[in-house]
Amino acid sequence: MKTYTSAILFGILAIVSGCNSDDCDTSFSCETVAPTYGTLTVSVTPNDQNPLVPIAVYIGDIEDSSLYFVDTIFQSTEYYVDLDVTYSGSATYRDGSKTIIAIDGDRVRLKEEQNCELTCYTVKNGFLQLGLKP
Amino acid sequence: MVLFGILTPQMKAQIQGDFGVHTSFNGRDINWGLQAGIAFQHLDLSLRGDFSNRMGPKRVLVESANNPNLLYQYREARYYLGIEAEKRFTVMEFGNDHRFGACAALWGGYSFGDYKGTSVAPDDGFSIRGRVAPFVQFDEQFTIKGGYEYLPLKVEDISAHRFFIGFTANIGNP
Repeated sequence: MKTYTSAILFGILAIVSGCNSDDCDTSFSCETVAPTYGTLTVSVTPNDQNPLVPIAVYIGDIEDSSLYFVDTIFQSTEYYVDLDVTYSGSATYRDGSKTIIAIDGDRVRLKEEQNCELTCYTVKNGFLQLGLKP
Repeated sequence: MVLFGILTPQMKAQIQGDFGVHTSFNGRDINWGLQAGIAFQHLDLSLRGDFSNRMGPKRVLVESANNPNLLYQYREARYYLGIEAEKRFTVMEFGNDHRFGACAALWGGYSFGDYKGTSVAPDDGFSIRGRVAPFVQFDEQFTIKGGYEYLPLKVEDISAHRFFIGFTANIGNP
């Protein structure tokens, strides 16, 4: 019985680890021209006190003082941005007499992979979740 | 390695490899982790190294040190690295090498985190975690357990009380 269970466990590990040596998937949609930009989606949560939310987006961490752009938005907004860059952002809300500054960061990446002897490019877009927590 | 060196041959014969995965959650937070260690079968005791982390960053509010009217909301990633000791108690045996019981585990280790988009970092430090749960073990090898977890965090709006589910495999002797 223990032999069976060990074999099952080994089989599960083999499946999870992906023992697939096939490196040509003809059904794979391959973009062979490298994109030059990605998208950075900034989400906010407007409310009665903050119908429009001022945001600031930076290159690197917020403390790096490398301001990329500022905007005032009322819903999730997409921006076209350079690839392979880490972005951070802040959104400023009023809450009664208090001020809440929401901060987030993400990286927009260009990814390469080989398929059927072609170099395929994909973009991992970025998201800055600057909405207030529930 | 040092521990293994001081054990008698009889004790070594009772030791198995012990590997596990687990998840714990409440309404505000969810963690998952991997464990690897040794099980002392004659003692029904396991010692495991354990690494776990939060599934995705969590929004947390932090008051400014200089201005009580200013709050920062960060997205916090959190990681846990430590050692867990688990003791099992058999309640009933059934079938062929199966059993039902209860287990209690205590974890101690280091908790560290990261805020996204800023060089400001959350508090790191030593932490504890306790678990109690019923378990079912099959073939003296595979254990499924699910029960209560206590994991206090320094984030005030995330409760210390959680539900957890774990799966453990013992491999090797005896």
